[in-house]
Amino acid sequence: MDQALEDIKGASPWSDAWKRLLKNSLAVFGLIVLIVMILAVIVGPSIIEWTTGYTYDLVPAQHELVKAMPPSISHPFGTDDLGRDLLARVLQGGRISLMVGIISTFVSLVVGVSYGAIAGYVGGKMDNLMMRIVDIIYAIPYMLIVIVLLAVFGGPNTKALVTWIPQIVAGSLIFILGILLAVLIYRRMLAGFSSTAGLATQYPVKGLLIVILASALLGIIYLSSLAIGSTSLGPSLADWYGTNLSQGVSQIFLLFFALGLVSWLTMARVVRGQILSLKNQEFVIAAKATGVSPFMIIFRHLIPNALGPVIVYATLTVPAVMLTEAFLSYLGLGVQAPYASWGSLSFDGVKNLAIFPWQLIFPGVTMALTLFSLNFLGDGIRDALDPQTRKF
Amino acid sequence: MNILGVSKIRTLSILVSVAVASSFLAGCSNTGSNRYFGKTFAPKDNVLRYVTGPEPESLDPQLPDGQPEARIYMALYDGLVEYGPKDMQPIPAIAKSWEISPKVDEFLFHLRDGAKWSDGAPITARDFVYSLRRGLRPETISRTSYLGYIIKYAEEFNGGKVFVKKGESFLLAKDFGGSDNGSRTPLGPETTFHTFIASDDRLALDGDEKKRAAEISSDAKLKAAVEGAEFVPVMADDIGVEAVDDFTLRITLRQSAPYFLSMLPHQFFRLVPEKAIEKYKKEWTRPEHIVTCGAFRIKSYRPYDALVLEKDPNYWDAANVHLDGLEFLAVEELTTIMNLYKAGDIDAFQNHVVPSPWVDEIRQYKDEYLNFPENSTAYYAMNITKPPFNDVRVRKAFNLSVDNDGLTAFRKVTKPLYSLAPSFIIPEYDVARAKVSEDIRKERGVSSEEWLKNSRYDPEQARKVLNEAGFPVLKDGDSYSCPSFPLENILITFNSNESNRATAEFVQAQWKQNLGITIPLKTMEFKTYSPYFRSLQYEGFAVLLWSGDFMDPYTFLTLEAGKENQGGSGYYDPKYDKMLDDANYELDSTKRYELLARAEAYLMDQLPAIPLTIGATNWMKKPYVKGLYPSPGTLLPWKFVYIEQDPEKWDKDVENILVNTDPVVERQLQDLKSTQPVATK
Amino acid sequence: MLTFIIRRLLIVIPMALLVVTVTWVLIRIAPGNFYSGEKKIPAAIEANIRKKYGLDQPWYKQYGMMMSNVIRGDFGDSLKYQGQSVNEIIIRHLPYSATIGVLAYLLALLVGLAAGTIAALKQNSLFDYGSMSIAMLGLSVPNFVLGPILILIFAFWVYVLPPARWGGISALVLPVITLGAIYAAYIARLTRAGMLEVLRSDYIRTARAKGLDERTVLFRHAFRGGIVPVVSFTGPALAGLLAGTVVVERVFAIPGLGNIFIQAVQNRDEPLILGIVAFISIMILVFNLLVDISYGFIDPRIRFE
Repeated sequence: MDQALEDIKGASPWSDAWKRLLKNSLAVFGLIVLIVMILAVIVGPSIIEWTTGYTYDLVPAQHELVKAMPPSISHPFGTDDLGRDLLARVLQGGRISLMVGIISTFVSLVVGVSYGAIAGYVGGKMDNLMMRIVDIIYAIPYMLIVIVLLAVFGGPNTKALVTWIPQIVAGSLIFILGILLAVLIYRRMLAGFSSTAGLATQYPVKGLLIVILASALLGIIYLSSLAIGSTSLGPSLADWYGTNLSQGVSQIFLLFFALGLVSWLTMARVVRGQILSLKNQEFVIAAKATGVSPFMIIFRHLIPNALGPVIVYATLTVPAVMLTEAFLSYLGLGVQAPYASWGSLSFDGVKNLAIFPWQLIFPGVTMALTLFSLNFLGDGIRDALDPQTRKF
Repeated sequence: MNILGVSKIRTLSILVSVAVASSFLAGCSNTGSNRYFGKTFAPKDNVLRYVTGPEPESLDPQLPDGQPEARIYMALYDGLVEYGPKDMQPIPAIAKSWEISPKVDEFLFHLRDGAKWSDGAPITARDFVYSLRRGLRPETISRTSYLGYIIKYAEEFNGGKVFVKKGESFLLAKDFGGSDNGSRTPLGPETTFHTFIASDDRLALDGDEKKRAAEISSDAKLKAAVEGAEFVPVMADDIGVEAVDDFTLRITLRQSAPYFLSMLPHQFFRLVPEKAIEKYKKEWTRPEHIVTCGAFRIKSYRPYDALVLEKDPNYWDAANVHLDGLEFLAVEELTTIMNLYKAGDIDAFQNHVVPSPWVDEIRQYKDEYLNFPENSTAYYAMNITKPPFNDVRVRKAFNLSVDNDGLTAFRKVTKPLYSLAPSFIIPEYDVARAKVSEDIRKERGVSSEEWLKNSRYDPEQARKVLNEAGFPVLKDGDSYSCPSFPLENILITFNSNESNRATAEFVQAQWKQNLGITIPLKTMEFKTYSPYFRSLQYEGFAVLLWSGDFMDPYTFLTLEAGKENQGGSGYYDPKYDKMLDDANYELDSTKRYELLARAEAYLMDQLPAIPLTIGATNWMKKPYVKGLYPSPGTLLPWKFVYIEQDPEKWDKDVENILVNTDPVVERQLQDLKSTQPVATK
Repeated sequence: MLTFIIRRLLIVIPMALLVVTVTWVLIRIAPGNFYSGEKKIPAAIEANIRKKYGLDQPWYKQYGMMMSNVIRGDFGDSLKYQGQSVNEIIIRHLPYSATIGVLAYLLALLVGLAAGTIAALKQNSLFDYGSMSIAMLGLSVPNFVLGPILILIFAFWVYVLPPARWGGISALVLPVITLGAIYAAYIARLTRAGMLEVLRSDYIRTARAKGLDERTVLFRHAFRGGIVPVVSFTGPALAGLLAGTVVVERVFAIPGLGNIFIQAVQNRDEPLILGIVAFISIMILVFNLLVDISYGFIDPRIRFE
C-alpha cells in the first residue's frame, strides 16, 4: 500500500519507464522495426517510384509482362498477377494496414479503457447499463453497419465527409483542450488568489474575463484551422492514401471509422473485468479514505494497475482489426482496387499459394514482422510501466 | 534481458519462414508432373459427385433464376424439350414431336404417353397447362416469369391487368394503337378456347385503379370507350396454353417468335407437380413431399451440404439413364472446389471456377480442363445521359483504346468480344454478321483495312477521335495526357469480385497508357451495386455482365431494346426496336439472322457499351466422366452422362470434345431426335 | 446473487428486441433488395414480389408485423431460400458451427492456459520467448492463410486428412486447428499478462510469506486471479464462435451459421438476418452473464452489488 502511494508521488514515472524500456533489448528491437516500417511505408513508395519507376498501380505496357513474376533484381518481392511490383504494393498496403492498426488501437485504448474502467469502478446500475450498451453494439452485425455507412456516406458524400470529419475532430479536440485549459487557469487563479486574502473577492470577475479571452483565442485558432483544413487537410490526407477526392472514392476513411467503432468493445470488457478485481483492494480503499476523487482513483490508481492486460489486449487488437479489414475488402467493403492492404494482399496471395508462393510470403512476412515487433514493444512497455517491476 | 534471447527468437522466426517457404517450393515441383490433376479413380458406385455452386435457393424450378439451380432442375424435372448436350439446341423430351404454325406464333406438341411422375402418376398435357399457369400466377412470384411473356395474355395475367368488357364484347388492342396480329389458321383441331385465343388481341388495362384512371384519362378515345364498361381481370384460363387432349398441347404466342423453341428447355417451362403443390403449398419441395419428373429423384437432402439424387425407375427414359446416382454438393469457395477436385472427392464442377492465375498450370491437364466459349458477355456500360459520354465520339475513343485481345490474353480464359452478341456460339449468326459487315462496308465505300480499324483496338485512331470530340490528347515523352478531359465523378464502377477487379485494373491501365486518362475504380458490394447501376447513378463506366437466356442472338440484342432495357446505359432508340421486331417477323432463319446483324451494326455505331469479353466455361471434369460437355451455357442434361471404368476409353485431349463423337451419346441422341421428323429449326 | 441473475435474464429479451430493431433499421437503409439481382426484374414482377411480402405497406405497419412475429419467436421464412423457415435453418446449422467452435475453444484453452501460465512463471526464459513467439505467429498468420497451408500439407502432401467438407472426426481436425490457433494465441498472451500481474500482487506475496508451498500458491491463489482477462475475453469469443466463423466455414465447406449469416447479409435476407442477430445477441448476453457470475467464483475479490 505504501508502495502504491509512493508510486503516485514518483517524481517522473515516465522518464523512469522510458529508461527501463531502453534496457529491454527485445522491446528496442520491436521499436526499431516499427519505426523503420513506418518510415518505409511513408517514404518507400516515392523512393521506389524515383529509382525504378514502379508504383503500386503500374501495369506494364507490354502484355507479356502482365503476369505474376517471381522475385528478381528489378522486382525484389516479385509481381502480382497484373505484373505490378509487389514491393511497391506491400509498402503502399502498409500505409492502410498501419493506419487501420493505429486508429483501432487508439480508439480501443482511449474509449475502451476509460469506458470499461468507469463501468467497473462505478458498478451497480451504471455498470449494467454501460455493459449492455457494449453488448448491443457487439451484437449488431458490423458488416451491415459498414454497408450502410458506405451507402449513406459513399459516393459524392464522401467528399464532404473526408473534408469535414478531420475538421470536426480537430475542432472538437481544440474545443475540449480550450475548456480544460480554461478550467486549469481558473483553478490556478483560485489557488493563487485564495492565498492572498485581499484579492479573493475579485477573482470571479477576473477569472471569467480570462476564460472568455482564452475561449476567444481558441475560437480564432479553431476557425483558422478550419480554413486551413478545408483547403489542405482533407485533400492532403486523401492524397496521401492515393485516392482522388474529387472522385468521392475515399472508402478507406469510412473503413477506418467503422473499424474504430467496433474495436473498443472487447477492450472495455477486459478492462472492466480487471477493475472489478482491483477495486476492492487495499490501495484503492486507502485512496478513497484519503479523499482522492473517483476520477483520480480510476486514472491514477486502477488503470495503471490493469495496464498489463490492457497493453497486451491492445496489441492483440491490431492483428484482429487488420484481418477484419482484409475480410471486408474481400467482400468489397474495404480498400478500393488498385489500392491494397497487407490483409488484402495476403488474401489474394493465399489463392495462389501453390503456384506463386511469393505473393503470400512477402506481404505475409512483412505483416507478421510488424505484428511481432508491435508485440515485443507492447510487452516492453507493459514491463516498463509496471509500477511493481522495481520491486522484483 | 539478454541479447541471446533476441537472436534465438530471430532464428526461430527465420526458421519458420524458411520452412514455410521451402514447403511451398516443394509444392510447386510436386504438381504438373502427373498426367491427371490429383487423385483420379473412377468411382465404383456409379454415382457422379458434382459441385454446382452454393446452396440452391429452392427446389422449385419456377422460382430462382440462377444457373446453379438450373443444373439441379435438369436432373429433377423434365420439360417439353431438353437442351442438347453439346450445343444446347432443343431435343425432344416429354414432347416427342411438334408442329409450328407458318407465322411461328403457334406450337402444337405431341407428348409421349409413357411419361410418369416420380410417384407413378402419368404426365399429361394438363400438367403442362397447370405448370405454365402456376408459373405466371402473380402469387408465385417467379423471377423468370418474364420468359413466358411471349405466350399470349401471359404478361397481362402476371401483371394483374384487366380486359375491358363492353356489353357482350371486349375492347380490342388494335383500336387503341396496338398492333394487328391478323388471323390465324388453327394448328390442330379448332376449339372454343382456340377461337378465343386466336381472335384479335383484347385491350388490357392496369389492374390498379389509380394507375388505370391515369391511363384512361391520358387517352380521349379510350376514355370515351370505357364509359359504362366493365373491367374483367385477366385469368389463368385466358393464357394461350391449351390441352387439346391428354397428349396434345397447344401454345399460342402473342407474336412471331422463332426463338421460342430454344427458350422451352429453360427451367421456367419445366413441369411442376400440381397435386403436391396444391396439397403442401410452399412446403411441397421438402424431400418428404416433393414429386419430380426428371431422370433422377431425391434420395436425401442436407441443406448447404449435399443434395443426393438417385436414378428414378419411373422416368420414361430410365433405360437410357447411365448413372445410378448424382450428388450436388454446395460449395462456395473456388479454391475449396479445386481442393475437393484434386483430392478426388468430386468428379466435376461448375463453370468459372479455375482462378485465372492457375489457368496456365491447369491447362496442362489436357484430359480434364474444359475452356470453351460461353453464351455470356461482359461490357462496360457508359452512362450516355451525362456528359462527356453523351458524345458518341468520346465513347468510341474509349472503346478504340481498349485492347480486347490483350485483355483476353491477360484474363486467359475468355475470348475477345467486339460486338453486342458473342461470336462462336451460333455459327450461322457469325456467318450472317460477317456478311452484313461486308455489305455495310461496301455501302459506305470504305477500304477493308479502314473498316477494321474503326472497330478494333487502335490507340492512334482513338486519340484522333477524342481530339475531334474536343479533348486533345497531348504527347508527353513516352506517355500521353489529356488535361482537358473532365474527370469529375467519372469512375469505373463494378461489383466486387476477382474477375471484375482484374478486368477493371487492366482497362484502367490501358486508358492511362493510350489516352493519358486515369479513371479511378469504385468497387461495391453486389446488392449495393445493382440498384446503383440500374438507376443510372453512376457516371462513366459500369460493368455489365450478361448471360443469354436462350440460344439465340436476340437474347443479347434485347439488352438495349425498349425504354426500360437491361443495358444500363440509358440508351433508347425506337428505330433499333423496330429493326429487331422486323427481324423476328422474318421466318427464314438466314434472313432473320442478317436482319438481326443489321440491327446490331446500327447499335454498335452508337456504342452504348464497350464490349469486352466473351465468357468461357472454365471448368474441369475427371477423364472417366463421359457424356458431359462444355456447352455454351454449362447446362448439362444428366441422362447422357456416364462413368467409364476402362482407363483406355477415358477422355483424352478434351480440346476436341465437342467435335469428337462418343458412340454411346451419339446413339442416345439419335434415338431421341428420331421422333421429331422435321429439323428442330 | 439470485436476484442479480434473474434481473440480468429478464433484460435479455428486451435487449434482443432492441438489437433486432436497430438491425431492421440498418437493413432498411442498406441499398438493394433481396430480389434485386444481375438482371433487372420487370416492373410487374417486382410489384408482385413487393405485394406478397407486404413491402407496399407503410414502414410502421411492416415494423409492427415484424416485431409481433419476432416476439412470438417466429421469424418467418427465409426470403432467399424459399420454403425454409429461419428457426429451422438456425436449429439445423447451429450444431455444425457449435461443434467446431467449442472444440476449437477447448483446444485453445488447453494450449493457451498451459503455455501462458508456464511462460509467466518462467518469465524471460527461453520457454517464455518461444511460446510467446509461437503465439504471436498464431496471431499474425490469419486463418485464411493457415487453413490453406494446413490443407496443402495434410491433404495433398501427406494424404491423411480430407481437404474440406463435413463428415467424420478426420474432417474436424483441420478446421478445429485453424480456428483454435488464433484463440490459443489470444489466451496464452492474456494468461501470461494476467498471471504476471497477479504474481506480483500483495496477496500472493502474503501467501508466499506465510510459507504456503508454491503449488498451492499457484493454483489456489494466483491462477484464479490471473485468468480474469481470459474469462472476460471468453464471453464474447464463445458467443461469436457458436454463431460460426465465416472464413473457416468457407475454406472447409462446413455448413455452419457464420457463412449463412454473411450470405444473408449479402442477400438482404431480412428474416434470416434478424433471426441470427437475435440468436447472437441472446448468446452474447447469456455468455456475458455467465462470465460475470464466474468472476465471483474465480476471483473472490470481485463482488456484485
